[in-house]
Amino acid sequence: MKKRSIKIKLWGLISALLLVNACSLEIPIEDQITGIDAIDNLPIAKEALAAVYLSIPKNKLMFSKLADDFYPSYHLRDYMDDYRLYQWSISNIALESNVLWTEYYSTIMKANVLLQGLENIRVSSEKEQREYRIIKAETITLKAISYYELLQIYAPTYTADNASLDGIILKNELKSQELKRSSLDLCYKEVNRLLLDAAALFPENYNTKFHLSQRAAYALLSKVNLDCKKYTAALDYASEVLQQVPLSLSDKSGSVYSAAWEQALSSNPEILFSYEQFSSYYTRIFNSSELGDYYIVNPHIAFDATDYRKDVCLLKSDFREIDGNIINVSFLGKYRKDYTLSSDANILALRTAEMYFIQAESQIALGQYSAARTTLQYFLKLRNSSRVITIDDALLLGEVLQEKQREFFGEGLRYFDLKRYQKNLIKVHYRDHKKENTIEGTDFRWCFPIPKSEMRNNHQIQQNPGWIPYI
Amino acid sequence: MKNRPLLLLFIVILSVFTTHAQDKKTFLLQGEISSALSGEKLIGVTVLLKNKLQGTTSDFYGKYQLEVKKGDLLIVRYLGFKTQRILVKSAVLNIVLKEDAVDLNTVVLHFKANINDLDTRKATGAVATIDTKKINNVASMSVGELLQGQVAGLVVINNGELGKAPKIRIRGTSTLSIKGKGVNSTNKEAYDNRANQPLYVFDGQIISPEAFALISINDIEEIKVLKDASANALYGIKAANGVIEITGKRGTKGVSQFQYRFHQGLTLRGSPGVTMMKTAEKLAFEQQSKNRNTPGYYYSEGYFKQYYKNSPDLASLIENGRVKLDSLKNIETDWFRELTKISSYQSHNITATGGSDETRFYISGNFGKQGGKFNGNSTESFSTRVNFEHQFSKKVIGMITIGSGFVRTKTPSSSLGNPASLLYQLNPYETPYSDAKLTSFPRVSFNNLINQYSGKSTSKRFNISTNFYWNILPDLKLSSVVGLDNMVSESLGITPKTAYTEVTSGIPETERGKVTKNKGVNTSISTNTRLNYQKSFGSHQLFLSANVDYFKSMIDNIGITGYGLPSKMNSAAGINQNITGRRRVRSTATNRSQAQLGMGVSLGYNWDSKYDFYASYKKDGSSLLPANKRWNSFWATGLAYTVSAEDFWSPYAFVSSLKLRASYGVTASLAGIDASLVVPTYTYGTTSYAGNREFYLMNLFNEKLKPEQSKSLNLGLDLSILKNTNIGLSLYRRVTSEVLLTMPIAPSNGFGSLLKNIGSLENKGLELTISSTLLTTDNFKWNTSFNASYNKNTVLKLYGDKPLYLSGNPYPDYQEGESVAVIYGLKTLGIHPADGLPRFLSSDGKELSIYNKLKENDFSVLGVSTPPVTGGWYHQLRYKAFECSVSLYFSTGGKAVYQNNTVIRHADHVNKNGVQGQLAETWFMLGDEGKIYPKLNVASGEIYLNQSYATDRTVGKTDYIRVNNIRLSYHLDTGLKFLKKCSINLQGKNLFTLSNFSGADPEAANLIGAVQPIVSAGINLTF
Repeated sequence: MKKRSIKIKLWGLISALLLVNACSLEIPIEDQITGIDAIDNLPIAKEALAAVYLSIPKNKLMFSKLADDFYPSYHLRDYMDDYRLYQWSISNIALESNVLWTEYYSTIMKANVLLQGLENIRVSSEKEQREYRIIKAETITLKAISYYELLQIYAPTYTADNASLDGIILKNELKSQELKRSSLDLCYKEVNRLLLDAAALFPENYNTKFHLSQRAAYALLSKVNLDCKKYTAALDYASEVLQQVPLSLSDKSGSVYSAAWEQALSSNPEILFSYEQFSSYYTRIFNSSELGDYYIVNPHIAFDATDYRKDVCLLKSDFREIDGNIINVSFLGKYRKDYTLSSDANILALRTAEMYFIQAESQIALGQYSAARTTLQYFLKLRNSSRVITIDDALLLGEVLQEKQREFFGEGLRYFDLKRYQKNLIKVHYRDHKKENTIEGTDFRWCFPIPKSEMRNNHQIQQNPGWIPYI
Repeated sequence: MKNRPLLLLFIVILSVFTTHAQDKKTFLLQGEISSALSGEKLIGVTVLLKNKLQGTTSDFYGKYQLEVKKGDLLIVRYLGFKTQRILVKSAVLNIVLKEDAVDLNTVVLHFKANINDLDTRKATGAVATIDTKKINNVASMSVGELLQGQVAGLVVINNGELGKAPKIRIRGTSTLSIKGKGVNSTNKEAYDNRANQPLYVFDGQIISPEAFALISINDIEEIKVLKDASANALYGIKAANGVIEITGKRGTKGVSQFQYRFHQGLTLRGSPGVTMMKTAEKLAFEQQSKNRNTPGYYYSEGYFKQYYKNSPDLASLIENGRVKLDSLKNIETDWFRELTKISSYQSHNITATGGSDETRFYISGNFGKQGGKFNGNSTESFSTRVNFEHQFSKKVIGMITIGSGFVRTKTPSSSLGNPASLLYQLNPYETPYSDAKLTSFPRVSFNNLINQYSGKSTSKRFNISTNFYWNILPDLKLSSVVGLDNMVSESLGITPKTAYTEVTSGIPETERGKVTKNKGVNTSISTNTRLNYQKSFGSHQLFLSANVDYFKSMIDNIGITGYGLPSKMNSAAGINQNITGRRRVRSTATNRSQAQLGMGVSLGYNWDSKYDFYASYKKDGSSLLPANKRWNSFWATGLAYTVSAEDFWSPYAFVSSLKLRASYGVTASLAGIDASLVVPTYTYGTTSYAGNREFYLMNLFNEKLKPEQSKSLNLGLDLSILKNTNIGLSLYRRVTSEVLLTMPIAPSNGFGSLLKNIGSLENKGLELTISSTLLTTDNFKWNTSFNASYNKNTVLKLYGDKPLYLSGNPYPDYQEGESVAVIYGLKTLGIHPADGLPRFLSSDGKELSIYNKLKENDFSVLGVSTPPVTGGWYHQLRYKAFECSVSLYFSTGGKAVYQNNTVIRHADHVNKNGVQGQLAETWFMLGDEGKIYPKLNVASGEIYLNQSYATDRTVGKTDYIRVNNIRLSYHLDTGLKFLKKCSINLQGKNLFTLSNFSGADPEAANLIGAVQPIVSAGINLTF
């Protein structure tokens, strides 16, 4: 009987201990950190910066499809949704618009969270201070890029007359708000201010793979000023960049150029900034290794026999047409050497070459035609092209834009050039590549619609004209 | 002494196989055992001799016989009845057992495994008990499925997918489901379950719904369903959606018994949800729709005349096409038959039970296997239970239970579509198991479609719990339960490197093939310690109780995804570790714990067996929330009045019992809340940028968030008439305020949603239960039970005073005064013969312009998707040794939108098959009158969108009656020493469903189809 009571006491003790020990309700979650001040040192700020880099939209292939860089191959009939997007179907553009808007504003939110966190970090040593400035500058630049690209996509082209039209939402606070779109003027000023702040923060000699730098900030300033029709400033910033990273004529084989598509090294002068990305650039056009892509390169994009770009940018291949005929087509070659593969690519987001085109465009706008010719001439030499430049000033801009497409097709820039100059766009049928549709330069769809989810949940916002009946 | 219990167990098991020595001066005692209240003969009553390991149980007719000596003391016990001790005097002894009423004075060392199962809460609250005898011989792998139709107010909705747990709800939905785009259906379902499913308690220990699914029905003695606040308040924060208490089988004192059950059967195909077009119709449809990717058109005369009109070979082309078409017309593949199959069902169950005054045991092992409807789909399970109790002294008793379970489910092989959807997409002129390219899936052959993926998931459960009961003083008792539940879930998915999608992906050969393996360990510890005090003073009976409970659950998940399988190895070990970039090996790991601590007191009072009063209060804290928001309190109170106990009731003696009950209580629920929604919370993502892991804010937080609050009122009436009929009636109203909902916010905030308290919700309803013995003669007996429940669900109040538009439709998702499951739609005027476009009727009776954006008032309420009325009807007929039982389940008042994805809506999609009758019902040309389906080439934009809304013609009633189970059995008492009893049975499960719904299966309203019908035969042997 005694043994039994000992047992009972033991039982009681164990239960009591279990209760006392186990009763704690302070259980931190392994992979979560609570509190608004979680970003409190530089290593964690770097990790928060990684989140900003990861969330910004990187692949611009969709804009190349919307523009005239590609013709659809007949395989696209199995993927009608994408063909409708190619043909600028309202509902398909609206879907893409929803994704982009969400991703850009998610990036801006993450940048805002980090900028707020950086306010709480105290740094002492010079090394830490340098690191702090770099993180801050990169964050600001990423926010500026998001604003700028949103403006390109959602807002009308800037002119002196429409400066007061709706731009985009400028978002700085971490709370649920319903905000109005700020005016174009205000938006561009904000982008400009952010980029200037960033440029001032970046140390001059800082240039790291997959990270933004001062030269990238200047290149962006140059782009932004061109869009704002501030040509002198655009010229100055472009020159500043080219001064820092000159492209040399001494590269006789074009190897520097072709190396840029294989490895995004920061030391390559062709590259101002590239995003690290573990995915294929081709997911939006790759069909299957047996049949070829959904899109072929617009046959009007052709190179001289000597042009370095010919073999890098175009993959020539036999292609079976719908009626069984075998024809020769070009698939997009950048980032890959074989169209049957869909390998990973680090995306070149800013290339030095663009500065020459900004220079030439600005020079034409300022009436400096001969300077523009010199700029273009130099660029053609860089690419080992023997193309002869027109002597007609009126045709020069067209030629510059054509050369720009030749340099940048598949990279999404063409869409925004056509938008800025309100050029008409021809869309062809997948079957015979005959003209199916013309998108007027003044078409309302050049400005993407504000997504339905924003319209529904933000009572302050104004839809882009033309989209109101649809969204 | 120390090893005595074990030794005893051993002896007891041995005794099963040995014959006992018999005393020579014995005689045969026989008699009948019946119930005092109903007069019903009782089956399976334990009759045993005191202090001997001898005894018997009553047979099918309530008869028993036992060899005894004069002067022996018999102990007669039966669950739910008072145990009787009778001295043997003569050779015939008929025993009448009295029902075990709530008697606070009895002090027997009989304890309940579930220590929250207080008798006092039953006196005033809504607690329903399921007798597992009705369901434990049914051929089914899922306990959840068996509960369907058993209790009024407990709604079980099965999904046709084998191995998937059914949806179980008690008294409606208490919180809102997520709506809107961007949330995938699996997440919606998981959230809906988390927020609305009941709490499962097994022998006092809290277990997860997944663990519940692994328990074998054979090991369950009884299931209680707690429906109202006075019952739930004991469990606190976890129990806002009701509680399902499961009592496991325990050893019974007496002679050792050994039982073996076996079931073998066939699982049938059932029927397809929707009948699809046959070859002739489909080819004609293709020709009419002029889709150039379909043979019906590109072999037709019209096609050649259109595209080859100038060809010199036109005539021969047309002739060639005709020949090809004729050969296609000879093919008639029934894809439902091709893709589904008849499979088998098998189950084995072995139990051993027995014990003495001090020690009792129960041991069981279960095995079951069921083949699915589709190739490659099957599930098998194995479970065991060992229960052992030992009485240490006259005051202390302890019990230990060890349970284990194992379930493996294989999912059908697929890549581009699963077989369940393929059978609605493949064309009848296409052939299976060939390499010919399909029309329905361009460029792919049937062999490219199947065997492209294999999935396997297993769950293993191990459970151990100890119960302890101490009669400290005659009136004071302490009981405690400590349990540990460990559940390991594994899943493995393999896409072989030879899969079509892999081969054509553009990925280098060495990187092809994908393996996903996940393993999750879910460990939960639950403890509950309760002190009970009960005392009688004259006609006053008082009951006081206090408890402390603690529950902690730890989830540890790890997963790997990798690529690049070698040619002969299809497992996780085959992952190529050298791949970099997009196809690199990825691993995930999460480790989360949460805990809840609760303290409660309750009080029960009874006066003169007439009036009952009950009150309880509980305070619960949860680790999910920051300290200042952590604690929530609950209370409940109840009153009952037993009218029939009054003296003035004696003239109405035909009503043997009448009791009125009322209860009211307040509970809160934390379902759906976690820290990141309330306070700023950061986490690390799985990806890195330039070497740094991403670190980001998880959610836009809402610091004002409150837990959901439920106030529930329950009124009940229990009635017994003429000793053979029991009637129970309940009325309830539950109002959930501070309802949580993930609300969409403008994406320019960086997040798409914010969790908010948005309003209040009401569930009210009526539940009726009738059970009756309709006929009893010596050889014949007819029992029946019927239950039905009605639930109405209404959004009472939305704090913003505005309807909520979450899905982006012109009509609201939630609106004050409407049900949460409301279906909005248009009133259709049919298809206009001139343009083939649909016309709709506006609210003011005019025809709507279909080119415009529709407005809210163009839509009207077409019905609700949750059936408000559900119920079950059970019959049991016995004639001599034959028994027949039928259980029906019905559901009415619900509606569902027909599954539109089987209707071809666009000419681009004509390459896939469509629903039967579409050829005749589609508008193809000017003048086609009275059609149901619009023309195929409707442009995008508003007109296209407007077609996607439900209309009064695409919504149908989902009312149905189903014969859930029908069983015929024969019982035989052999009287043999080695085989005491034997019974055989034949049964059919889910054989007939009567429904008018033509859109799909009326229960799940999806295309996967109904629960598999099973026909089986079984045998039960008792040794």
